[in-house]
Amino acid sequence: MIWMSWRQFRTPALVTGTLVLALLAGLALTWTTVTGAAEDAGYTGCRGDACAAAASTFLEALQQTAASEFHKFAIVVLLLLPVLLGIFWGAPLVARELESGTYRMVFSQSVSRGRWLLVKLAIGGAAVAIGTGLFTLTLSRWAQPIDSASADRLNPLVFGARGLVPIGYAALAFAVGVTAGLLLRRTVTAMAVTLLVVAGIQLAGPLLLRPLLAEKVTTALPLDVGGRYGISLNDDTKEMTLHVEPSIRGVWVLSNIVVTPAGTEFTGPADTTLCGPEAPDDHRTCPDWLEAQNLRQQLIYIPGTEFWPLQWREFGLLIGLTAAVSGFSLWWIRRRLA
Amino acid sequence: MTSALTTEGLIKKYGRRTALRDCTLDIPAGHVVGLVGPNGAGKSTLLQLACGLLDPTAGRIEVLGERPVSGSPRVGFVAQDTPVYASLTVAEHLRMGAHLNPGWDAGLAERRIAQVGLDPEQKAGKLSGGQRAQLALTIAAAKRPELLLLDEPVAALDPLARRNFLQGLMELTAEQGMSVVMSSHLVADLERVCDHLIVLVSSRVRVSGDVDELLAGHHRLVGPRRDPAGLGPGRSVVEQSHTEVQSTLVVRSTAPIDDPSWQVDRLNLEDIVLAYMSEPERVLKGQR
Amino acid sequence: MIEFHLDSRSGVAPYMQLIQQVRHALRLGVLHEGDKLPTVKEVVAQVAINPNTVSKAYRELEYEGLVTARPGLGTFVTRTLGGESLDKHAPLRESLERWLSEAREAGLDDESIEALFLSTFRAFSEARA
Repeated sequence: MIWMSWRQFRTPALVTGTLVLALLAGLALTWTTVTGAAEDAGYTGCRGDACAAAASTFLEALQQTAASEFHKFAIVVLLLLPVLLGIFWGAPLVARELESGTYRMVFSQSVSRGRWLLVKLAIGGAAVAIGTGLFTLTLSRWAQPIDSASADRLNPLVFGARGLVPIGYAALAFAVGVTAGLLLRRTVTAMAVTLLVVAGIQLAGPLLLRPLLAEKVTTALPLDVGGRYGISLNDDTKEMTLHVEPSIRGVWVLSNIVVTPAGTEFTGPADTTLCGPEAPDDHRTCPDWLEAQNLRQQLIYIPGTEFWPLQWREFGLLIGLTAAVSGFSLWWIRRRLA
Repeated sequence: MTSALTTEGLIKKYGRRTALRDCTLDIPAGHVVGLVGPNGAGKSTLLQLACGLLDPTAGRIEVLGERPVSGSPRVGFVAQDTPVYASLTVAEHLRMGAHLNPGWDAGLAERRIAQVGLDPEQKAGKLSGGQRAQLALTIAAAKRPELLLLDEPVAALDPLARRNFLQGLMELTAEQGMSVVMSSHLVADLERVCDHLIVLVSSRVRVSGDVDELLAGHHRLVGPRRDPAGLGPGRSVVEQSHTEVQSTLVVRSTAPIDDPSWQVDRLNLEDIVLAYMSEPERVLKGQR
Repeated sequence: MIEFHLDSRSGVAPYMQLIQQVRHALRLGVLHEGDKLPTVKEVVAQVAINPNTVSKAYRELEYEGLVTARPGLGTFVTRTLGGESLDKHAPLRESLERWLSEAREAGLDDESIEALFLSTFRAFSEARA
């Protein structure tokens, strides 16, 4: 059965393998650009306060290079990889046999349906894990200087392209694809459904699930309007909302509101002579007035130290789901086929 | 003698459509059995139930004394339209057979492929219909099953390919002593090859029996117009047609017809099958 | 080695056709004593008929004493029919010709003569069997 699975899987495996190798080659080629830029900016081996400045210099210099473009490209590929694997590896696995009728031949050989599917899932799953794993772990290592300089690892767009989590999504997408093909029995329909489900999972993961998996920190800081801020003002009701950029770095901010001393969200009313269209032009009256209101900035965030715990928990959950979906498909194929 | 296939009250429904109803059969082993009937009669359903690709809705079915399960080394199956893996070569199909079947006879497989004139390196998608059928037959037979099930294997083949396929099938049967159940809507082919016949019409079994017995037991009676009820016991009318002056009956009887007012003709197998196929939903008593 | 063929439209049972073809070959001298008949497998590969049919025909020929089956070796002819050429039976032929003239004079047409002969012959064979 192993030979049979490999023989049928050969072409998609080799195509994807070649692409992964090409991307790894790209990473290898751009490695020196990144390390070079970090050294030139004085970021490598910096200490203490100098690091902040060196980091920005490093990142700005890197922006101009092809390495930066390649980095973005690699992230996009890694985020899309689960959907592609689900559609092109997973969905046709069973659906094509059901559609073309070859299942009638292969299921009358001396192999049970359960074992047939199990071996195919195992081989496909192993290939998914190895391919995605190679890519994501190499990319994580390659991007280490960038990640520590920008301290942005928990950003959903970055988190999903680092560490173990991409492997989890890819494996789950593969299992979903296979199950869709098994239930729907038509390759193209299964591909469409897999696309929708996997896209849904990849959106629901960071937005709904990830915050639940991490240890959140809630803190209230005195409001410092010196940084960036934005106001929206309703002229008639004098209601205003205030948004201030948080000054902590390296965290994933889940909630950022400005609260009154009483603890409720600040909604004004605004003194329009100081803030708003009637205020003087020097833009100083509003911040002063706001600071006098004794407001605090309430943040709920996930600190950077949570990166690896969160990676492991999300990965574990995704692998658990993959096992559940695979188990369901194994049960289903034994129970009924037509 | 052991039984190749036994069913009792077997029913298969797809939603509201009944593909097979109240099917009761006992097919002895060591025979070549023909399963004949019009399209949609339930032949394909019965065969797929027998090789475990379908599960019954109700009733009992046993193949070689066991419940049918897909992936049995004792039962081989050649599906309708003989599906093959288009991108695999002939040799790779045989390799699949070798890997997936513990009882695989590689020598037999290679001999047959050479005998039929297939190029092992040819991709299966490029084979003609007849060649595909021979490949599918080789794969099913080389695992040395005790029972071989074939679902309309020659329906789409030209006469030469059909003849070659049947020759190959009979050779395998002679060699391995296996039981064969083959469905077809071409009775002429079945007549030379089968020694046991089942007629399936509108999802029901109309008649099942040894071919020689069926040929000996069915006759066409032509005579002056009269009521067939007067024929007497042990005789059942399968088909009847009347003009104002004449009655023509197809009769199954255990005793010879000795009434001189009837002209008694022997029938060939095709006539017998047609007689059963033309009768509407009438369950004939004592025909099993 | 002889080759068999099947006439599916002759109305004669397949196994009977095989028997007749062996007898015919013996009569014509195509088969001689000691000749080997094709194996069951060879026959069905040629003619696409049920192996049991061939076995049945061979068993019947053995019962008639024309062939004998040697396990592991095959089926061999034991005696011929061709030795007795029909010329030796001139008296029988003449008496048959006389009977045919009588039947014609009685007013029977060809089909009636054939029917009369066949029904009598069948009854005669069955009484003997």
